[in-house]
Amino acid sequence: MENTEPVNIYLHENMSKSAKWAKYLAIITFASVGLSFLQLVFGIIANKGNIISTVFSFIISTVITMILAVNMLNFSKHSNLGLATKDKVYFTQAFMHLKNYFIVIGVIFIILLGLLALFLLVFTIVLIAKH
Amino acid sequence: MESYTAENTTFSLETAGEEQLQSAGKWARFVGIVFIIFGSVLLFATILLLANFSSLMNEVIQLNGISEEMIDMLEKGGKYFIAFALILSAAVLFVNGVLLFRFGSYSNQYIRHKNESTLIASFENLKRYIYFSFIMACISAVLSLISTFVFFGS
Repeated sequence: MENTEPVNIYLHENMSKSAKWAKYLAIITFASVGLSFLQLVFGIIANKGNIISTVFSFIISTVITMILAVNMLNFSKHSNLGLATKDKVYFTQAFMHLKNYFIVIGVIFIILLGLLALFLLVFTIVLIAKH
Repeated sequence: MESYTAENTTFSLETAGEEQLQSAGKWARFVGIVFIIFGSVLLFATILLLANFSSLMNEVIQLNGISEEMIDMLEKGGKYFIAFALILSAAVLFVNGVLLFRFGSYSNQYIRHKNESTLIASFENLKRYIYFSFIMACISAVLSLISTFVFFGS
């Protein structure tokens, strides 16, 4: 069953520009990861701070950032291919990568909110135990 | 400059594509709501900080033992700089949140009613969100580069 929706010039322009800026966003994100790596190397050379915790936090943040950047880049690539070839499959893939991008951010927020709730719970229990 | 004609500006979504768009919209709306809540909390915290700055500083002195010079600097104008940075952060969170919420809402409206104008509005907001994120990423990268030179240059 096919659902064909003609989309006008404005939508084409919006999608095209979204794809263009998504590509730039992914590139600047990759550059930021490179810069963070340089900071890590300089930090280790200068022997500033706890190396193990610094490397651990760098790996975690880099993995998350790379997943986001790769999804943005794939969204851009497939959107452009879809606009050029009019193949529905490319749009489906583009939206799948966009969905993955938002899922990653959403899951991070859920984890953060969970940790915040846990912290508040422990804090409240400690306060109650003290009084 | 790109030019668009009627022949090269028509595309269609299959059912799977619509499902992906709907799912992306739902997650975007959730992230948008969280951004707006975080922005509101940050704004509230800034107001509380400005209102109780002196008593808060007394508490911090007892905890960490900050130097007199630092306290003097914070009380003279530093607190306004901190407040400005916090308000700016809250504004960024608000703008991102609103754009994502609108993208999610319009894409869901499109899936439900198949109204083309809602799909246009949806992608307009997505485009703005990505553009805004790009500007923020650029500013962050430049600040990071400066801090690298300042911190390790010395």
